[in-house]
Amino acid sequence: MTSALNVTALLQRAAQGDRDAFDQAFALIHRELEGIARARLRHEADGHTLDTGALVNESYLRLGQGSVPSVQSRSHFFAIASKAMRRILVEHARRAFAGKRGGEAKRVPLESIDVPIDAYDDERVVDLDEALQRLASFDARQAQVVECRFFGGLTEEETADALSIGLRTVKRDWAKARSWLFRELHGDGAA
Amino acid sequence: MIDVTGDVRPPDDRDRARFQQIDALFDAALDRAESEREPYVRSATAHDDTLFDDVMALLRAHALSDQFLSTATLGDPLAARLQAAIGQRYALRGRIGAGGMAVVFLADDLRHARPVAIKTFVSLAGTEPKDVRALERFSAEILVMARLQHPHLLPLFDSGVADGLPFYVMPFVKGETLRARLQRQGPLPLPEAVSLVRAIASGLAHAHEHGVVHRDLKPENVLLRDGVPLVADFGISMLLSASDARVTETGMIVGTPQYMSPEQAAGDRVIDQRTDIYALGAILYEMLVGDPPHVANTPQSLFAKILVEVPTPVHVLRDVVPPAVSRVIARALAKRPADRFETAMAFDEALAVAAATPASEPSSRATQATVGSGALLVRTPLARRWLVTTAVGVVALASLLVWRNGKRGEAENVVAARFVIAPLANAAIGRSPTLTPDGTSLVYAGSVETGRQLFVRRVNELQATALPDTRDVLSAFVSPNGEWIGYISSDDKLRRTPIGGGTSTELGGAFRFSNAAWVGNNHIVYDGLGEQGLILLSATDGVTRRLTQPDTARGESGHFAPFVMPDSQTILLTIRRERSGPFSLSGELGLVTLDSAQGELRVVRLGVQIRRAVAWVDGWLLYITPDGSRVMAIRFDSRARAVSGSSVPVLEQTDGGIDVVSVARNGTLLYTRQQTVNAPVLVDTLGQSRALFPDVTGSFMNPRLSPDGKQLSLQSTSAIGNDVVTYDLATHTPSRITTNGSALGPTWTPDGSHLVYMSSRDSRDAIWIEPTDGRAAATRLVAADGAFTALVSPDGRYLVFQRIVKGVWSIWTARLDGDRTPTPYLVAQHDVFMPELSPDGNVLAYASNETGRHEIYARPFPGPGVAVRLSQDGGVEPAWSRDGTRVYFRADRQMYVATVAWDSATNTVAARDRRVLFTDDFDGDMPMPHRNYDVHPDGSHFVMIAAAPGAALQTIVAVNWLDELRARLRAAAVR
Repeated sequence: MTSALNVTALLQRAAQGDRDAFDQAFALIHRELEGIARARLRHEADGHTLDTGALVNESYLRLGQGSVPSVQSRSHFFAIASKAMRRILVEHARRAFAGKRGGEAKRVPLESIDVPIDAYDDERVVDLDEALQRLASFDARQAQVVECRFFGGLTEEETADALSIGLRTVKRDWAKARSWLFRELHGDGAA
Repeated sequence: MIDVTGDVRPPDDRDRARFQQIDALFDAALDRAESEREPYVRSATAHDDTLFDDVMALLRAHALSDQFLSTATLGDPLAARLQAAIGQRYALRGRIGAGGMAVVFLADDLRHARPVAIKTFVSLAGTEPKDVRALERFSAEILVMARLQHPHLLPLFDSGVADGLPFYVMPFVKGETLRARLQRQGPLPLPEAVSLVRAIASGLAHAHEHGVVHRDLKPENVLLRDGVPLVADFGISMLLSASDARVTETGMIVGTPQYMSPEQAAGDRVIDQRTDIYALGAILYEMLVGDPPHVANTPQSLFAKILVEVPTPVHVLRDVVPPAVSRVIARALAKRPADRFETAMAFDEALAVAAATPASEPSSRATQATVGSGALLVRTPLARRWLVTTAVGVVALASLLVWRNGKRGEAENVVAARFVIAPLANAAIGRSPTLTPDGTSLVYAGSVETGRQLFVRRVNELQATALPDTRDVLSAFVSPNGEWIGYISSDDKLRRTPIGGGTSTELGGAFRFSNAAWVGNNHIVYDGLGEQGLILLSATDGVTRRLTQPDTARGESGHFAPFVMPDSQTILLTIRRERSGPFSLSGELGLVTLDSAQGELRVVRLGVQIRRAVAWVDGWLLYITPDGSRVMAIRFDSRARAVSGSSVPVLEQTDGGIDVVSVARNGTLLYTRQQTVNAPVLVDTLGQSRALFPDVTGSFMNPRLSPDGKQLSLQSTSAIGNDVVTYDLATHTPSRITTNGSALGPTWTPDGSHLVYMSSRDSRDAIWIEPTDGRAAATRLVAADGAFTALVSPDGRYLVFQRIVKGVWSIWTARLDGDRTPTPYLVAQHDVFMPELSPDGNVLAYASNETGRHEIYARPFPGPGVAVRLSQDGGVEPAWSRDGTRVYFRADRQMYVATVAWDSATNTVAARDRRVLFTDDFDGDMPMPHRNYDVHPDGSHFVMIAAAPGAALQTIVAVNWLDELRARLRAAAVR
């Protein structure tokens, strides 16, 4: 209840241009997402993986419970949650990846979340995050679209709302960013 | 921990320029057909081979990256299961779509080296062995269908059941569905719609000749490959309905059965090709009109309409359609299969002939169909109740309400005509609609495919003009001379563009959520990111000046929401206070006067709490109240730099609040409100709910059953404000009790003959009483600022009401058998509210947060006596059972019930026990304290409010609103 009021108020404040409020909202959502992910994975069998979109939606339901946020703050929430999800996944992947490099067992106990993701995935997530940082330095919007679509599990429509851009822009940015990232990570298949 | 950030070399300007160059060419190449891309890049890169290589590399990556990152799966259990089962033949590459029951994967067909789409039915996974046999049998039948070869039928390559997952394999088609096309584009041109339908009809004819009926034809099942239709999912509905008993019972397949034929809706098991003809007629109808023939909120009412209602002929809704085509569609949509075309071929031929006939002369019909709708209410003072008729369909202007009434109560009632501005095709009303200063046009950011572009639209027309060179616009504001639009985009830039169209000029940076306004025609004032005060920006040279700085010594933490007076010298603003926290959207009204000096200006505080100032009319300043629920007016003199008198409510909107308000010189008002969409539901004591009135949604709160349980009163919010509406529970007939947009929190009198509600219709908060049969006008019972919901005691002697005074809620009474003076009953430092009298009138239940948490208490009424606490872990919204032995209340998303006893000998109240009844996910927790449910007199169920999908930001324009405003202000001045 308290957090619901807070996150709504924070999003409204952020919507007024308050960057402190944005940071606080981010921290709150990050914590909530991490909590849900931890609870979820504790009850799942080995080998289960994270459905990021479901996590983001659940965090919204929990944090937004009982309040009636405006469409803007809801969209804003999803943009922030995607960012938070990215951080969570990348942090896990880094820890797990580091652990595997050190020759530990496949299932690596992590500080906060005990998440089994295979080595390839961990490496891939870290690489992707780095490539995404490079892309962001060239085209912040393309990187944000990837953040929402891939890390946040948002649909194209939700991404358009979250970033206040057109659907066509989302589709085009998504295609271009994927091409760019694909080339960065896998080459372009040319001889 | 690996620190990667250090590895990333920040790109310099040359890198960025290079990226942009490559990106632009890549973008332009993607706009072209695949075969034209390389020649284009070759010609565009001329002698720069490196550039050519870079762009081509991206294009190659593009071809390969189709599925890259396309699933947000860091693993996909369903895919893993399917892959394990079919790994010999297919290699899954990723998900390409998912619906309610099915998931579609892109895969490589290893045997034939071709891409395929594999559809699997999640909902059928893990069925019983008996059903698996049924699945296999139908898989065999699907293979019969797979032999169908036709240019407009999507072939089936394979099907089967793998590890309990039924699946089938079809070619991978690059393109979109007809549904996506319709969503993207809206109604199609007549020739295109006809040619698509004729192609589909030829495919259907082929299938029908082979004895195969589709049974679930809909735009989702028609794929468009380079504009050529391909019908998919043939006969799949049979597979689904045969294996899922629940589906068979209702005859429902997936989603909303808009295209279901009457015989399917009736549950008829004998389905033939004429069902497909009906569906094809429905698809053509939607392609031409934009909506399917029948639209309803619930499957039940949709079934009813499909069975009974004849849809409006297409040519009436769209006058370019020849009546002959309209008749062909009507025949395809005939209720009885025997009245339809016998074969798809016959339908196709009739359509071809009809499409060649000329359309009727353009007439006024089309105009009427788009404009005239909604509920038109006319009332004479002693009229009987009117029935409200609601129109079906989406219209451009809805809820047109014009109502002028003479003396009623004490005030002159003038209500301006209000229009809800509906979104245009491809251009939804965006975030910050505003009026031009002359009031003739509205300016808004509309969603188009390329982003949020600025649109200008004349208020009395439906056509909007897009302004070129604007994109990703978040908010806009128009200069006083009406020539310039300033706007902020999602790239955090402030720009201006000529209102007549032209090039946008970047003026500077501003955070995307800044508030900005013109100061004269050459300057803009805004609040910004990291700026605690207001900034003045020259629109001609981009030079900025810090105007204000919050006075931290006086507890100020920020200045925001500037409003510029018509003199272009005085700027009003909202002062955020340190102690109200950094999240406060409201604060004290402040003022600065511009001078020629360069320093910061002194902010004069005016002592009024506001969210923001929005307009200045006839010496009155209009502002949005701190809670966002209303617009109030207060006398303001900019030369004296002072306000005087008390505030007068001029516009109420309790539902979701008022966001944007703009008042033009010609008296036109524009404002936005967040519309809630919900519906009353019936909930049993286990928490199971069902719709009370199928098809009725609105913005409702405060449900109250009449004492006899036959009527339900609700507070209903519309464009005009809040009104009281009652529904007859047996006939579902609505009656509007009030129509002037100012009636809140209705409750029934104990005899059920009257409703008591709060209204500020004569510019004063008061409790009113009105007979429900319309035989007399409403009368004011008690006037008290901040009074909200009220109830009449069972003996009729008391009015008990809650009231907010200086931000604290308290409970008051007035003697209805005496002089009705408001008398404090329970007043404290903390909130005491939500009073509810027991049916015998001897005990008052209420909520109070004296412990720091809201809890429910009960005490003898009128007293004296001792209060006892009924709740343990919090509680709000108490309600009595009819026999007076139980009090219901809500806490922490649970509905509770407590047993209560009153001992008349000792005049004491005792609480016995409390327990949870059910999990309560229904609407509650409103900004204003009121009980948002009611208990049926027989105690068997509750009426609650449940959210319905479809909340939307509404933009409302009121023409000649100044007349209404002046009438209100006059009434206030007289008082």
